[in-house]
Amino acid sequence: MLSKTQIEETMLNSGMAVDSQPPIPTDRNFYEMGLDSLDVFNVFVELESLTGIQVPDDDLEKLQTIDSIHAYFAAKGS
Amino acid sequence: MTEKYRYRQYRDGDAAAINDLYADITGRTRSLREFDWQWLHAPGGRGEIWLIEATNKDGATDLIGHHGIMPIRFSRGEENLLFGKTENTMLRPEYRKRILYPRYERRFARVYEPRFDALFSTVGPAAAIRLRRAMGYTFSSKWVRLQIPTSWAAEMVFAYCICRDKLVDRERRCRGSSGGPESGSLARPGCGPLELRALNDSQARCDPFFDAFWPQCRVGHGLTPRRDREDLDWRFWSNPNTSNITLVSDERSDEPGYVIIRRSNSRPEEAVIEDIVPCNADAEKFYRLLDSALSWMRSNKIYWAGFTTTHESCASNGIAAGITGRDLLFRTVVRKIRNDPVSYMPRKITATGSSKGLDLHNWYVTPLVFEGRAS
Repeated sequence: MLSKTQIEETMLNSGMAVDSQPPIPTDRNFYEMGLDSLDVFNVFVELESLTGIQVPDDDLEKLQTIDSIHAYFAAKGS
Repeated sequence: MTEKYRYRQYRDGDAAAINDLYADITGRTRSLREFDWQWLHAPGGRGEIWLIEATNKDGATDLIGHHGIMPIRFSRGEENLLFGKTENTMLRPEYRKRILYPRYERRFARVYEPRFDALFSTVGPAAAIRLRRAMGYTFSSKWVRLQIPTSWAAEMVFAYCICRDKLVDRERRCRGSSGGPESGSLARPGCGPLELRALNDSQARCDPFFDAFWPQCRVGHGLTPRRDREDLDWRFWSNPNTSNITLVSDERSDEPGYVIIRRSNSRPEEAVIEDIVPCNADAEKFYRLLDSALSWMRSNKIYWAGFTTTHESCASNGIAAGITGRDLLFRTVVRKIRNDPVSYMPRKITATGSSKGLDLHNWYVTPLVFEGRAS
């Protein structure tokens, strides 16, 4: 199962310039941390590769925190 | 979630909504005629136009994003190629945190890339550059923007560049001033400016010079945009955004070539060199043609000529090599148009282009590859 730590590591490993020091607050919106859609895109490329689950475009709007991503993948069985 | 997102390709009837999106995001207006010219009627075929739409819970659909590729015909010697220029990649600001635009472009690219041998972009804001990198474009060719004072640079260019290594020779041969066995060889090819005819767009469109120019000259050129009549007609002479002056070498000349310039409306003493092509892809021929064009401009009260190309070694065609190899000279006689940080021309060779052995380097590029909108 995808853990919150794995999601955080994926974010940090993607090279994005997060304006928070680790640990990243799990309830904080990515865009409020200074990320842009390309950063978030890269995170989802990694997470989809890691889990084998494709996230539909229409679901992405609500996946903007570590908590929400974690809950989403958990509900999908990963 | 209140909206659904979908994407699709252009359909007839979409132009007005695309122009509205373009106006909202860029602040520029574009007429339907200009849209048709840019996207539907290029010699390389219809542009790749991809749209992203949002449908709300009431079923109303809005155009929220656009990504386009303008087909630009290139050639490498006798070989025809099709390149694509990214253009009008735009997403309404309120959706930039709601959808992941790069996902969409990846999907679009999977469909359109096989059509093209290479993709390129010109310049853009930092976010656009990041996006190009993420899409696999390479940033190795730098733009060089020059502004050349025609009033005195032309002679220096001629004297210092063309005959740089043989200045004394030139004095003897061209002016016959030094005596010696070569004295008086005034007819030596390569001396003095070429005779140029100036054509307006209507005249250039029909001028017989262009019947044979590119068909005969392309074999000596490397990777560069095609300059068949229809390419030039579309990009310059029938371009609804601009009007140009086309300078062509005299029909008796043994060094055919042409230069297309666009005079500034607001500053008539300035012009942009939109394209410059000698038949022989050779640095000396390039400089002689440039010198001749500068001379024409000077006599027509144009005192500054802007020119943009890329800073790369162009051993295969010699032209850009001619310019970049003489930076020392240009540092003394030109000033950069802007003190921008270094900007690059992002390029990507597609799988189609890779199978033909295309290279990211050694392209001869002029403003012909720009959007074609008056700046």
